[in-house]
Amino acid sequence: MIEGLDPVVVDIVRTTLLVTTIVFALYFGLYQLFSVTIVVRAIGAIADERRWASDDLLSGTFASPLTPGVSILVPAHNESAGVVACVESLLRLQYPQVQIIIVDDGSSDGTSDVLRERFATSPVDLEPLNPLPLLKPIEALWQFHERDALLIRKTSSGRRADAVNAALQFARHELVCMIDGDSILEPTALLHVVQPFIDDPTVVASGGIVRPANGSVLIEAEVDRVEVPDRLIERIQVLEYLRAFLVGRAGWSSIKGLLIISGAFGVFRRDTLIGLGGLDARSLAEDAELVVAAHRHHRSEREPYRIVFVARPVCWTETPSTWSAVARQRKRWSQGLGELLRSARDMMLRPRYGSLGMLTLPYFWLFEQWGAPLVLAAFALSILTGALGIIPWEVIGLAIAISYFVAVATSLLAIAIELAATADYRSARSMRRLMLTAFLEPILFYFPHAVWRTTGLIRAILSRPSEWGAQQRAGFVQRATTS
Amino acid sequence: MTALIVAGWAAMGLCALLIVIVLVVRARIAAGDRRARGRRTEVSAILRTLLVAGEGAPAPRSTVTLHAIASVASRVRGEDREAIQCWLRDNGAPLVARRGMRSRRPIERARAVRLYVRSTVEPSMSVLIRMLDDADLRVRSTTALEWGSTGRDEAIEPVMAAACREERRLPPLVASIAIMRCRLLDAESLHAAWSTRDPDGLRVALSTGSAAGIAAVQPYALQSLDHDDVLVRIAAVDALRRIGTRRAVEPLQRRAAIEGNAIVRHHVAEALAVLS
Repeated sequence: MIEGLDPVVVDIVRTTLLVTTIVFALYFGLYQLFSVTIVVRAIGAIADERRWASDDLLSGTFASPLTPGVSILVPAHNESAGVVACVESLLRLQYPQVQIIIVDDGSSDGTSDVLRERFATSPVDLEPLNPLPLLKPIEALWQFHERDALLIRKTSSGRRADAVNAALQFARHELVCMIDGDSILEPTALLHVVQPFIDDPTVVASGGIVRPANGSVLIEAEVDRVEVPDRLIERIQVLEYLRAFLVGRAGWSSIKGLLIISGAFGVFRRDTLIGLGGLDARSLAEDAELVVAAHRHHRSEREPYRIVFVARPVCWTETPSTWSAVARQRKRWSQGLGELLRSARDMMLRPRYGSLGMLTLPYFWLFEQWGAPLVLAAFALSILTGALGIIPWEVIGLAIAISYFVAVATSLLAIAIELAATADYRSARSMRRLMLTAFLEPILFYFPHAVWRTTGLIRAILSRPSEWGAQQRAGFVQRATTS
Repeated sequence: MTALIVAGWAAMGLCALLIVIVLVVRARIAAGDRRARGRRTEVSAILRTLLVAGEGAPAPRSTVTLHAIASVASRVRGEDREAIQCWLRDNGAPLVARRGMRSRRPIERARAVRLYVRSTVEPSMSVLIRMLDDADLRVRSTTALEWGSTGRDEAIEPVMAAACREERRLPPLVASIAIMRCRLLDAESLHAAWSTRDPDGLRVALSTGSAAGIAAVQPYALQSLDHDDVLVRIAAVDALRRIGTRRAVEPLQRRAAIEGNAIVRHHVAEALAVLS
């Protein structure tokens, strides 16, 4: 194909492509090295946590007068399908002092109406305890009868963070927990996730495991039976959540470099949040932005602090069930990550910011942000070098096969860790489905995922505006109790 | 090319190995469940013999059984507890515990503290004070909670002191849980907090003292209304809400007038509503 060209040009092209290929190989090798380190740390952290787990301690926490109260902030935008189950699960929490604050962020599907139909409420006029600037105003407030719960309806600004800030204004307790309006908390989840604050006064934030509830069955707002869902796209997300939440976050937490505490389930000290001016309402990755701000604040002030991940408590959430919804979500996440890393670039490779500055941020910049476009570039380069006859097709095929098996191995490892750590997916059917998905995911999901992430990154680079996006909720599969 | 082929086979082999690992983990979990069932049966048999028949309980097959029986001792009182503790002593639990407390691994030291407290009728104060000074925070916490679970009031002073000191402190919430488990009868047991004015210590003392209904906490709570630490002020206001008398109303009203923090004001309003 390149026979007609000047031999010097051919040599230059050949050398350039070869060097680029070697650089890509080193890049992927470095990525695998990072991954293995994180996995090893995660296994140690999860095993340690299981060894120290004590029901006796939890019962003491439940009974203590000093156990800090928790204000649970629930931003909800068009969540009428799942918000009642969410609030019912919060009302069943085993925790001494809980204040629930739900924010209907300009929903058009009657989210607040559904709640007011299910629970007795009265309109109230309250002054915010912690005034914060909001992008859009609060329209109305309702107090639940005989419950420490508040319903807020506000005009939507298109940003989840603005809804959280609206709720944060009324938070009365020492700790605040953020969960999504489509999530279900296990009854003891809050006790577990608050425990690090009790064990160590320097803990400023703590996050727990979030799992897809798709396919699971609820009885009276509690998850009764966990199943790996039928649809492939939902199964793929189960696998992703295992890798990201169980392995990834446990590993990063163990090296004190946790970047993200999910907005779907995280507990923070209220005073830390208020001190930071609430969540950054302009950001799409407001949860990670908050964690970065906390790292920045405490490192700058040279205060001892810990941000931890607890591998046991579980928050069940409804994940998108169609490819188009997943595409929208991933573009938004990628854009959010791009914006986050841009705002945190002054912390990158700065020893004063510890593991976060020296390891986590460079990792996320190099592999999470640029990983997707580089995968696409590597793919295009492979085709080009193959077509030009610079690298034989057999070599390219082998390289792709190696990448495929390494990707499958990563998922299988996550499944093994999951199996050893929790009992959720231990049935033979669930294991079979997860293992099959591990083999299908790299073939069917990696390429479109890389395209979505690249699109999100481009939107971040171009500073395009983005919002919650249209979301379709099916709600949870509820089953009534049988007498 | 050869290197790639080797790498390809290695990656494929890794996948096969991980599939085997998944299956092995699953098999080990099943075996672990079987062992746990067997242990439960053994523990039930020992407990049945001890608590129903009264004597002749068999010796444990392993130290795991010893720990399992000891965990039951912390949940029962009276003759049943004594019978279990007697069996634990006869089967060498205090010796195993003392050896474990010298272990290098914090988890072993924590387990040993539990076993020691649960198997001893009158745990030695010096041993437990030493363990309250352990280098590992989790071991210190376990010691405080276990000591508290005996309900012995002699634990209050050392635990309170451990929460107020500079080095190797006890987390305030853990201290409060431990103290709440003891019979707190007078405010003087909490003197470490009153004398050091340590914010964490004051929070523990005010909360536990008022939760136990000790009226003598009121003067200390009134003093703490002007503390620099917001959390101490909240604890003081909450304490007055629980045990305050009419004498507390005026200081609370004064605090409400000058308080800059909205949360404290909210707590003061609640306390005043209860007291007036």
